[in-house]
Amino acid sequence: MAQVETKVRAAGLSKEDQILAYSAIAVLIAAIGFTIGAIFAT
Amino acid sequence: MSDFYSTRWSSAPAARADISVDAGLRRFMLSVYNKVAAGLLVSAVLAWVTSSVPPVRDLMFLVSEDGRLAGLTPLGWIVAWAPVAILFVASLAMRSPTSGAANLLYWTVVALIGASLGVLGLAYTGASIATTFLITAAAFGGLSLLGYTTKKDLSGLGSFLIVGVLGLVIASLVNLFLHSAAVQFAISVIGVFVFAGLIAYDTQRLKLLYYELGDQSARGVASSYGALSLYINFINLFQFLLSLFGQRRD
Repeated sequence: MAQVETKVRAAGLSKEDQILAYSAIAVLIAAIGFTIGAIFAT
Repeated sequence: MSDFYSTRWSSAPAARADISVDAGLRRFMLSVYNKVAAGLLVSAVLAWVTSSVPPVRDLMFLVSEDGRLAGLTPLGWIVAWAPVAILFVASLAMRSPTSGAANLLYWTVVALIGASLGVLGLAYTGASIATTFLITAAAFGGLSLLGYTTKKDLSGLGSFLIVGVLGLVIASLVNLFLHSAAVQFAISVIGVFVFAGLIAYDTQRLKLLYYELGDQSARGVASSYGALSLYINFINLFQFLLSLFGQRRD
């Protein structure tokens, strides 16, 4: 069971990956917000 | 002979107007690219400072004893999400911004994104960051040139690409719970294509916008907004490429 859990963790995202994902999401949302805003403005 | 003169004199002002519009467009696009380049330079310096100068780094990031990225401090979270809040407020509050206000918005967002990009310096090696930056810059140049020179109308791509970005946001949020490396890989691959398309699309939109906007002040605002849009596309493309090809610190 412990072995299975280790394998699942190895295939998943590390803590560092998750922090990077949060940061990337912020810039992604900025991109979508700005692109939609720019289209409505023009 | 009279035809020659009439043709010559009637077409000369039109020809002059074309040349002046083209020179104006070139000047406008150059100002946008210069702004993007300056923004990237400022971001790189700020990212280096927030990842490499310990007193500043510790204000924004939590680093474990072995130097690994362990989290963000409350200030780090604020800096990372502030651009979203600022762009949201700006889109509601600044219906017809001045050139100065648009410029201030650009530099504020660039500084905040730059500072929060220090997170990449803590997770990836300097060499892979530098290599990926050069690859992104080359791709950006090629895609923007494509958007600028193509005769094909890219406006139809706009809604498709925006839906693509929305899909990327949703998939990224879902993956925060799934923790799947395969989904993360798929997000990064799709992200590269979506932002590659957005760079070409935004460049063409800017070019067309130049012809639509008559006065200098409106073009000043468009230059800052255009630069911000291309800057954000560049950063997203860079992050996705780094996620695919970047080498992690041991």
